[in-house]
Amino acid sequence: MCGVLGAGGAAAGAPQAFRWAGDPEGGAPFVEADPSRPDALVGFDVEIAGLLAQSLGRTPEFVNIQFNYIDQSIARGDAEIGLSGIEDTPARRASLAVTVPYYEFREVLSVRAADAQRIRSLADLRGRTVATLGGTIAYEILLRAQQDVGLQAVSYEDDVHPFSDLVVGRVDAVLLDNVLAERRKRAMTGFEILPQTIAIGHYVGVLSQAQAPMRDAIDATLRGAMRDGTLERILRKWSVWNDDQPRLFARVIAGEQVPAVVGLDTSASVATMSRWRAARVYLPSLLRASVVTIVLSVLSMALAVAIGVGIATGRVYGGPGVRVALTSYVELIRGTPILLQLFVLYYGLAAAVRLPAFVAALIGLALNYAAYESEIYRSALEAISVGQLEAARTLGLSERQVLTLVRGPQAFRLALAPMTNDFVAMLKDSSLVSVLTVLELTKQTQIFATNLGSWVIPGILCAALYLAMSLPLAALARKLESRWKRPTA
Amino acid sequence: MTAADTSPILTIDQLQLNRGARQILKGVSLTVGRGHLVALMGPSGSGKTTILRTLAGLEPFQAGRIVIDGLVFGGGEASNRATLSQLRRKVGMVFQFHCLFEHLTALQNICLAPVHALRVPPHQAEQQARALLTSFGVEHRADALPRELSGGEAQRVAIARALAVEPPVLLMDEPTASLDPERRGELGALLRTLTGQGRTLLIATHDEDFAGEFATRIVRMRDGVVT
Repeated sequence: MCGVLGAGGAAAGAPQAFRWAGDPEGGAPFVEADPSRPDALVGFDVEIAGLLAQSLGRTPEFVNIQFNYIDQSIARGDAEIGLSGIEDTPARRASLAVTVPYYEFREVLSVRAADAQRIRSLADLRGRTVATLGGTIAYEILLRAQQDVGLQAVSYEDDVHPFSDLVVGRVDAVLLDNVLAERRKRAMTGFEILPQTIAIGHYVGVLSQAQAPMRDAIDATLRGAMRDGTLERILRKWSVWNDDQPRLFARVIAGEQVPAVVGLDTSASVATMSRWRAARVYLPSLLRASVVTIVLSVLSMALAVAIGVGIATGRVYGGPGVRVALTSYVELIRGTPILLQLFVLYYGLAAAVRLPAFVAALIGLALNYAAYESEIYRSALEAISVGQLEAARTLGLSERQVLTLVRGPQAFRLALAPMTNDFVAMLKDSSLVSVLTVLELTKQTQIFATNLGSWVIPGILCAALYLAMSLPLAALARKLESRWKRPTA
Repeated sequence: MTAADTSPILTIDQLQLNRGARQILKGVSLTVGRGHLVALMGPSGSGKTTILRTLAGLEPFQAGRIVIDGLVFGGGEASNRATLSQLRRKVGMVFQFHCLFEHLTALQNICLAPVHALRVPPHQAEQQARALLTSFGVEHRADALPRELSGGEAQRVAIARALAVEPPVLLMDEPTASLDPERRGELGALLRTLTGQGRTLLIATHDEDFAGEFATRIVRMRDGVVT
């Protein structure tokens, strides 16, 4: 059963579409583009979606949603159901209509082969760095262990780079479910999956609360597929069938209430708290993330200014070779996405230079912004009148002194307003570095929202913190601009 | 008219300057005695300002020779860094629009070159700058930015800035262009004081009355030659 990427609405007279959301970036065995037909999808979630659509008398239509945003998309009605290896959690149960679980997985640790004998549990990872996918049960487990055991939790945006960073030594272990770990093990060498189970969880489908009647119909279909072996055939086909599944199926068919997670105390989950209590619980971590954002932005901007001044000076005063080289750099940076640059710097160069995430983020932002800053400084330098420069030269100042004492200070005043604008932009662009596992304000807010099952309070808090950082900066810039206002007479 | 030492401090000999295919100066020769105020006059485009800019080391020239207070240089040396450095100890320039540094106060404008080009200690440079401002009657404007100065005040600060490095020759481009009659008279008196102190002034001007009243000699130009 294959879903069709980007399929349009149903034709007149054809069955109504059954819109289901998933993230093909997650890949097999869940949802991935068919290697032989890239416009078609394959995976066990694709087949389950087909099964559900058929039972409803409808045609499956795939909606491509990034994994982290599937809950929000379902809540706002972009699709009727989310199916993409979505975990059953208290937050999802509180904010969405969740189907019965159709697969049971185990959270397992993966470590480098050399550590396999020494590490048995999270307690053995005190002082070590452990990676996982953000917004998952595994991340919640690691956050608890961070406090209880003293390990360092690192969250990733995808489930591939935790393992590649494990192999190159950036992290010491990966905690993810057995399906993801075994899939990665088939494609990569240099690590081992430990047999111990850290926690047990389940994959479910998620619908908006308004779709509870459809959820009940889907639950009936899933139970039927468990009874008649359809689901087993699908899971066997994708090599994820194991002895845990018959036990789960028996409990689901018997109507037993299956707990969302086993092995993680979810009684203190923010999803079970009042919104305001949850906000109070998360506020300290949001404030810590704000510190990361402001420190990263200030250091990156300082470096970007220094490099930008160098580039601008080289382009104005340098020889033809220097000018061509610097212009090429500026055009290369401006012509490629910053996300690509961050990926290349952190992951692409990892074999040669293993930069820590914060350092890579700092350098990546600085190198990107330096290109834009240099254009501001270059145009500001070129805007200083020739008369000012000639007056300085006739007084016997060297070209270097003309630049540092006359041209540079005047150009700085011209550049101040756009520089401030860029700094405020950097405060916000710094959220991009979460792809390098840096836990800054936007990423922390996303984690908060995922765990809470709502973006309203996390969004308001996040916006307030960004404004608390950017408004004083804008006020300071206005003050400096008025003090150093360029003479008009 | 000030009685001046007649020994030449400035000699221009067959100066030729081209901009692309266009000949701007076509073999200008000129001698200026020490302590003189010489006015270069002529229609726009005759080459007056170009001569001042060449003497200030702002325009390279193709042929001819310039001698200023013993410093001799020809066309090929005009862009030589060492020659330019020596030249700028000999010649100060006051631009038509003053070109005061917009980010610095009047006092800072005057102190900049002594401190950074001549390595005069800052406190000493400031004392000398204040003395210059006082002698030009604008000491009360020491802390004003250029945009806060009147045209006459800005010109006096510009003259003080040029004189702060104590050049024996001062060049001025259209010094009366933005002055009312009263200020023109004050400027003339100030320039007479400077020539009385032994400085040599070469000014480019369209102002016949001013030149007639204050210059020791008028040199007329047309189409890049002295007539």
